[in-house]
Amino acid sequence: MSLSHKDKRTVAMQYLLGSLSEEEKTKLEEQCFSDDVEFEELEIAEDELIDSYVRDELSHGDRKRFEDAVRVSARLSERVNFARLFSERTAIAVDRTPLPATPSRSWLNFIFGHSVPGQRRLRFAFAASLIPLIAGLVLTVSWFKLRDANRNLTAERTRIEKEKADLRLQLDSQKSRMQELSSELQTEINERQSQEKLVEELQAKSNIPKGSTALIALVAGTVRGGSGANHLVINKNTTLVKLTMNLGPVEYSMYGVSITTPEGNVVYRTRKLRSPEKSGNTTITVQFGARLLSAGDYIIRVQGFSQSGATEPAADYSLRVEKR
Amino acid sequence: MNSPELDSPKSIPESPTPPRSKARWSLTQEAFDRLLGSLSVDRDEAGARYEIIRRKLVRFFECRAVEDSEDHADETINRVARRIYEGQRVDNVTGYCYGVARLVLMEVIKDRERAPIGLDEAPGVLRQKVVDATDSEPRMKCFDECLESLPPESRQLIIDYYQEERRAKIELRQQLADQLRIPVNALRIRAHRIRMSLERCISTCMQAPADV
Repeated sequence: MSLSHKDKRTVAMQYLLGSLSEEEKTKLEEQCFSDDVEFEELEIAEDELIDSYVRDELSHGDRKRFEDAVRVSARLSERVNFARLFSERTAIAVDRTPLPATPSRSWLNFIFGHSVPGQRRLRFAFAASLIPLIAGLVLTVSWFKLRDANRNLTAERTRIEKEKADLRLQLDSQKSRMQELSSELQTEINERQSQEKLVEELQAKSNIPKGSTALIALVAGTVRGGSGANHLVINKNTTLVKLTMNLGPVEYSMYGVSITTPEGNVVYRTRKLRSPEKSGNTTITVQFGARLLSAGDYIIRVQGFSQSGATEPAADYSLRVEKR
Repeated sequence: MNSPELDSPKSIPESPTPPRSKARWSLTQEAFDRLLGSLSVDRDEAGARYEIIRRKLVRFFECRAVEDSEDHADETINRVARRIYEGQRVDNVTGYCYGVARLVLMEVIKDRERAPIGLDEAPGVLRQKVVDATDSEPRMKCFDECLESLPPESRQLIIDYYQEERRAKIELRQQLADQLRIPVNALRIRAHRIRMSLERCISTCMQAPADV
């Protein structure tokens, strides 16, 4: 089964960091050379890796591996420079601290400026009287600063404690949400299995007539493993396969669908599809001869055509076909 | 890049008949045209396909920790072009390039093993190619010009896409995708394509004469 975008990105990042085994490297390279979409995923993973590096979000080990890669590649080095510049130029401007005000020169001149001989003793006496005053002033200012620093530290500690508590709460709520989701998932899997079983029973009971159509509404997202995957049973008498894909709230002028084997062989491709739904929930349906599909796994890619004509991935599905 | 220009064969020697000599073969305009022809009948599409293949090859050599990956990518393309020029039928040029690239890689590794290691090339003292050039004035100027030259919606998208960090970034991207009514993955691809065009623009601008 193919991987989700997130898994693909993780594998691609490991590849770029040189952390994959030889076998995994070769597999990814074969995919990238046979499929431009896979290669674009690799390029995006590189973008994200560079950004993480520039933002100092990589672990120590990954950072070192990445720097090793940059050292032997002028192209990567150039891309890092771009990312730094991009980050700097688009970041929210930080307030500049105002420069300290320049003290007035008039009274300094009075004490340290050029003097006529008669004024020198008066100035010395004045300067000497200022010393304890200045020292007292410095001590007072230092004390106030220390007090403020202490207050700030206390406030900071309180804030951190509060953040910790918030994080703990978030973690707890996420944990319970995870539990809810996994129980929902399990319920769905059970329902699905019981539905499949029911369909099988019905198919077995009713002698399916010649020229029947196998229908399936595909569940979005590519997944690993069999339990949550889209499972289509093609009977001996099945002549047509009808796939319905609910893309959710996406909006393109047209759509294209391709069905490939995990090795990248295209078994079916169609373009210029339009969604009949105009209410914002896009659904597309394709129908083709059942003989195109052999038993095995398939990747179904739906691409959206934007107004400019550029293609973008709208959804990915995995499909397991069983022939009986 | 040592490949000829797509439209101007100025630097390419004329080669009327397919050569089969032991002398080092160099890419001719005719051989390059045949390579493009085997990629697509449409010249523009063939050029785009050629660029993608070259990018794939450069990544391949880089990820195999090979220095001068661009040179090895060009060498791979030259060998493939030569085979096609000499009459070999190649149905899947990209796949064929990958096969040749693996051979080139093996040769590079063998050469590396045979060659004595100089003190300044020993592991741990890798050649430092990283140059922090973010503060250079021309680069910043090019960046601003190129960003300005993007269509307004692309400019806004790329700026918004790269705002925020960690969790806030993920949430912001989901909001952006919802606003544009596209899946988050399509948004990632859209942002990536804009970023690539921006990087290409800056690279071209930096190579331009000093009037930039």
